Amino acid sequence: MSSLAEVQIRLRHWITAPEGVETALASEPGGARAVVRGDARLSAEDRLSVYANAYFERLCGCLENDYPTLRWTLGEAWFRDLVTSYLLAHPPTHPSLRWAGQHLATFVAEDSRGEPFRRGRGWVGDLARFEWALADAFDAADTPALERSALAALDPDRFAGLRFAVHPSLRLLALEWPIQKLRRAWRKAGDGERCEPAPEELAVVPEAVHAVIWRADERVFHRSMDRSAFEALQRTARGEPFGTLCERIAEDLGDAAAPARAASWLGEWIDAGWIQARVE
Amino acid sequence: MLGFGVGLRAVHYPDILERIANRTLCVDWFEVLTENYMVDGGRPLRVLDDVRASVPVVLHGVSLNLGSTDPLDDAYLEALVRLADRVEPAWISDHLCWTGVGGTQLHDLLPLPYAADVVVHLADRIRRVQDRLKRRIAVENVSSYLSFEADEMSEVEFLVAVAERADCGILLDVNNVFVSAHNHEFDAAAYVDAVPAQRVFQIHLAGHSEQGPLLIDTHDHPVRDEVWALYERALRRIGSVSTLVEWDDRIPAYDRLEEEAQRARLAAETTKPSAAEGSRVVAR
Ligand SMILES: [Fe+2]
Repeated sequence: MSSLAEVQIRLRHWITAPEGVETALASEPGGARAVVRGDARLSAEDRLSVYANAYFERLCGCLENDYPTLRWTLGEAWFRDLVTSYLLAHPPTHPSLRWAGQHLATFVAEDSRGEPFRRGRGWVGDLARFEWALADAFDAADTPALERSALAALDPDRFAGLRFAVHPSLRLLALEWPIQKLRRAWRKAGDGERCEPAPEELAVVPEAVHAVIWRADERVFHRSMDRSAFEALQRTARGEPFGTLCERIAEDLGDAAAPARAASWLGEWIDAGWIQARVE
Repeated sequence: MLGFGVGLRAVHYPDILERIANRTLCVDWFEVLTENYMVDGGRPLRVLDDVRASVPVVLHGVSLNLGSTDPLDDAYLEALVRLADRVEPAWISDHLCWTGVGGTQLHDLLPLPYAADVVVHLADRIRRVQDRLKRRIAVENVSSYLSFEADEMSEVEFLVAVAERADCGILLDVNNVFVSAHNHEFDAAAYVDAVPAQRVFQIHLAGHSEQGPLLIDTHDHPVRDEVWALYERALRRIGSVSTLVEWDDRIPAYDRLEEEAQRARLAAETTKPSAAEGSRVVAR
């Protein structure tokens, strides 16, 4: 199969070439024609271009779907440039398109090749993380949530040692930018995803935001939390027992308030469906 | 024979669940895009379970990557086995193509050189997949926009050789036959006539569009009249066969999709097979 392997590797090279099939082929005259048949209607190069365009457009459409607000804030031309650079760094490796955009947040926030896209737009990394978390929450595993009544049935003496697990769809994001403002502006622009944002809509300033994203009744929700509650929930997600949680809250808020505060937070989390039924 | 179906698409979930509840569903089965349901949970899987509780389902994949020179993807096969256990599909299908190499997924159905050594390679991989899934799969002919200098035979000769050697089923996409016949100037009718009727599990119908001198398999239009004619030709040859209408882009209202499936039903009811039906190759 070495010849088939070679054909496939060469096709992959031409189809994914960021500069387009023509430029990629310019450096190897006759390269395509040795492999692909052209005819009077269409050259080998033009036939390859059909696949190259389809590759880019399909992935661009997929990423636009996963990152609609990022796409809106960047505008079409910049977003397409971002997709080009991203695909070069992270060509899809998963059999499902679902995962094609999994590295975009890191790319745009940390990769040197993502620098032009974050220059003057410090929020892009946080925005991409946020939108990816929404996608993740949508199809995360189904697990029964803990009911308040089940909590009442637990032995109070054992409470300090209990470990609560969070629902698999729960995502906790410590953000440095008010991403929800950008999301609201995008939503307000309505279906006008094609219309460009006004400069004042993008004039956000850094602000610490503790966001929680979760799924309930098959829909994905998000909201901001107060920092201490967010950190307590984070510790719960990491598997810290309830007693340790109370100690940390005590350090944060002073001893007297800690147990009551922890119990009330836990109650809120349970009502929101954030805590799994399984308790250890 | 499952009857006449359409693809299960997220935009139609509410319509479909409502029709199932009211018993007003006009299609007999659904085809689902396998990869869309290889997820951990949430709405897609719940809807799939609900639909499957009332109607047969076929798993149609795009990323099995049968024609690749990469090793078969074990994790993918594992996920496919899990999904098949959950859904109990009437059968499982994928395409006669390759979709990635060297670890990169191109997310497209790329054609293969139609050569004897590629027949052997492909048939061997189909057999291994069938062994793993403990059933025959159906492989679908794709629309293609290029052909290879290395071609040694016609597309249909390649399809027949692979299907016989792998002892698998065929998903005959008559729109893809029409599109590729135009793009590579071969005879679509002769193609349909050469397909071994007893191996055809299913037929696909879809719409295509024009792009310069090529036809492109865009699945964003109604089925064209020329493709209906080719479908009737296939029906005369194959007899009654499960048929599915694909519509994946610029997706219309669900009713419109059902109309298209009803048109296929009518065509099948009014088309007499030219020969007695022989014994069929089945999934398991
Ligand atoms: Fe098809």
